[in-house]
Amino acid sequence: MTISNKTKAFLGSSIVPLLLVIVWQYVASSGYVASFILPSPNQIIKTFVTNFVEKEYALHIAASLKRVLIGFLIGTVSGFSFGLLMGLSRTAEKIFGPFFNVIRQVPIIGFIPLIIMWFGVTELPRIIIITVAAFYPVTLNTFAGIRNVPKEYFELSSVYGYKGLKLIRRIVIPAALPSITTGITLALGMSWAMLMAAELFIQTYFGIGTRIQLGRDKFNMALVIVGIITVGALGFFMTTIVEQLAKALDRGKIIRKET
Amino acid sequence: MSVAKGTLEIRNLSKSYVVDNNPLQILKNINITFPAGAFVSILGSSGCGKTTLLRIMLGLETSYEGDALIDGEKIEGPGSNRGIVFQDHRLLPWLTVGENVAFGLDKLNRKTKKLLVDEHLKLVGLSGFEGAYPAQLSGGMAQRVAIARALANKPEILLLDEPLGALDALTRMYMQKELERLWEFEKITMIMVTHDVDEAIYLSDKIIIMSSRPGIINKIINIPSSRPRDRASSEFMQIKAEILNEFHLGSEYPFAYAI
Amino acid sequence: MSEELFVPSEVGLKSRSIDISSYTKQLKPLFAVLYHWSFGIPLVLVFFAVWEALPRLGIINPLFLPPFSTTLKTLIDLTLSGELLSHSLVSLQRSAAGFSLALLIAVPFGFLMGHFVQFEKYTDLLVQSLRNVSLFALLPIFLLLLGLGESSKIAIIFYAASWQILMNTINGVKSVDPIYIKAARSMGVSDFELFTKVILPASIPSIVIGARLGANVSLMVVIAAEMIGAKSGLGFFIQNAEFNFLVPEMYAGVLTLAIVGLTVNYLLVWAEKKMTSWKRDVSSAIK
Repeated sequence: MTISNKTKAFLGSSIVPLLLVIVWQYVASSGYVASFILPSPNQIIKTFVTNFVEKEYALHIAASLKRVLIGFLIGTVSGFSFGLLMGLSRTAEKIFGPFFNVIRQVPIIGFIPLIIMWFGVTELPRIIIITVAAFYPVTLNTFAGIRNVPKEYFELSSVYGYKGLKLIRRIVIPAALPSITTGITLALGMSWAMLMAAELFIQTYFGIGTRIQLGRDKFNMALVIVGIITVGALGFFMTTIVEQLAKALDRGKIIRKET
Repeated sequence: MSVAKGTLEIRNLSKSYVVDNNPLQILKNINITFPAGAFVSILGSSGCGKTTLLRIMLGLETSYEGDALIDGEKIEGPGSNRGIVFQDHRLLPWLTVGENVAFGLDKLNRKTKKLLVDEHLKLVGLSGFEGAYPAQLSGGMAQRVAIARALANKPEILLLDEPLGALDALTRMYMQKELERLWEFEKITMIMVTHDVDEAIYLSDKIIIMSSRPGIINKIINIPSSRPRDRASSEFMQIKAEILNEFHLGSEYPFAYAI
Repeated sequence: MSEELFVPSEVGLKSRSIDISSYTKQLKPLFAVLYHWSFGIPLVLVFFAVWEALPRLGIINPLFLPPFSTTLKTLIDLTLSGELLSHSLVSLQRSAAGFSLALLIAVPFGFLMGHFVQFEKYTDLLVQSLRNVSLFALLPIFLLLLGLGESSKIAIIFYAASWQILMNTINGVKSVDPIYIKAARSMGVSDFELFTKVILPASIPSIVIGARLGANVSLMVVIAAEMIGAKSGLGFFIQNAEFNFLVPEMYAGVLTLAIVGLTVNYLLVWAEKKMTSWKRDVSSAIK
């Protein structure tokens, strides 16, 4: 039986994690470490099952997903528009640029108490935080993508009489697309990270972050780890979807340079 | 006074830049007439302003002294009566070959567009490649698509800026034959900038030799020979020797006739 | 604009213009920056004007948004009393400690993973799964396990910064131009020399970028950590002010955070440019 190279590689790379899990199971169940610090893998699996069997976990996932998606979408769309504006218009860049550059370097965390004071402990501030987190990378990458359109393309377009909206739609945006997709992928990562922050600082009942905190409060580490794994898995799926989408829409393979 | 369609005239053209407070004369007192339907080469080493001259003819440079006239009218900017083939093919990577060729054909309806695209791809020997992407093409093929794109607009004059410079030597010779075939088929004026002496002699009715700093016309050589030209003929060699002498590259052992 | 772009390569004068214009080259960027910024000033002024006007005109309750002048006054008072300064310093110290630790550990680890393909094979899956684990989910855990003292803050900063530094170091080592390696090998260098004289220097730009990103994250994380479980530090100050409804103090704290964040950022970018300037020169010489 011949094992393909890919399988070999996968097996090779799983050895260490597998060993770790085995050691982990042993250490945890032997009682050397209190179970509230280090739950055993099979405890975790049990918690997984019980949580998902209760309908509630689905509600938590739904709540978190809703926040992330809304924030991510609004942030991405507005970031794209703003980046487009600044990229296309030097005047806009000069007017808005410095201000934007200053604001974006202040950690969003710092604004959270302000946001809480302004909007209270409701859904809106949470979504705002996630929106802002997505806004920054999309703006920056869209702007960079547009500014990096090779001047050769502009010469070409002036020879063929492409101007204004036509130029933007048919040349500038496609040329900037690789950068823009990078920005969107980054924004997705930031959105998930800020989701956790939002659920942490702005308490709510429904949310995966809340479950994690609940686990912490009740010294149920298994619950905490279940939550972390759920977030990771969801984030991973969403990123994969975005990347696959980008690949599928990638005409002429400009985003992924594979032949 | 009416001139034949496809005539380009340069009269007393001069252009200088200011670099570090020193004026730099790129072109000085250039006077050339490009007769309609002729194949004219501008030959010179890098930096003698030949590309600038081409860009002026294309309409991308507008600040100069003197006149550049096409069909008796001043060149105000790029226009559909002049096409260009750059040294880098400048095909848009996110468009298919067919869409690239149709780049300048927006104002036409779909059927006419398709006809023109098919016709011109056939002309350059790339029928069937409409659906391919530039990333999948070799250098020679991509350049042919660029030529098809330029010709699809039915320009009166085709400008070529070292069009074969990026290709390997063998492909280059093949493409020179192709260029000649296209020229004879389309019967339009072709103005080519090159630094390859053989190429210039092979293809041109007239060669304009330029020297640099400042860019002036050294000599104009008319080649009345019939086509296709034999690269090994004594006539060819004679003209080549004459040209090389202009560049002080003449052989110390001039060609001897064998009797 | 197109003329400036064309002249150098067209007439082959590039090397000459670098020599002659070294003076003007230094002044030009300064003027360019000032000119560039002057357009942005109106918006900044508008921003502060609005901040001042809205509460004073009663459009927004001054309790929730004190006028800018009040905030500024509070800021100055707090700075002069040394309170803000000490909190800021505490935060910066924690950041620096965690960050340095991260550099110490993540850089060598990154070298190992980047250079030894075998090592990477075994650790890659683990690294990829772990690096995506959300910081903010872990934040309370760190605080729980390590208490409210310094060690928990430093630990989480270390954790956060390490990932940035690690990934960028690996990237840096892996993307060393194979030409350099081949050239060195053809000169018969030992493995150790290859590492210290070729790979190490060539991967420094990536490491520096990773360090900058890591430092950014460090600052962000320390504030977050201080907001949840600390008795000192800028994050604590802001959170405490909010808790006690000391609104102008809270705004002053946020402003201070903004200033600190900006200063740190600009310093880091400057340091990065300084350390990677050689790379830029090489590539421009090739052009």
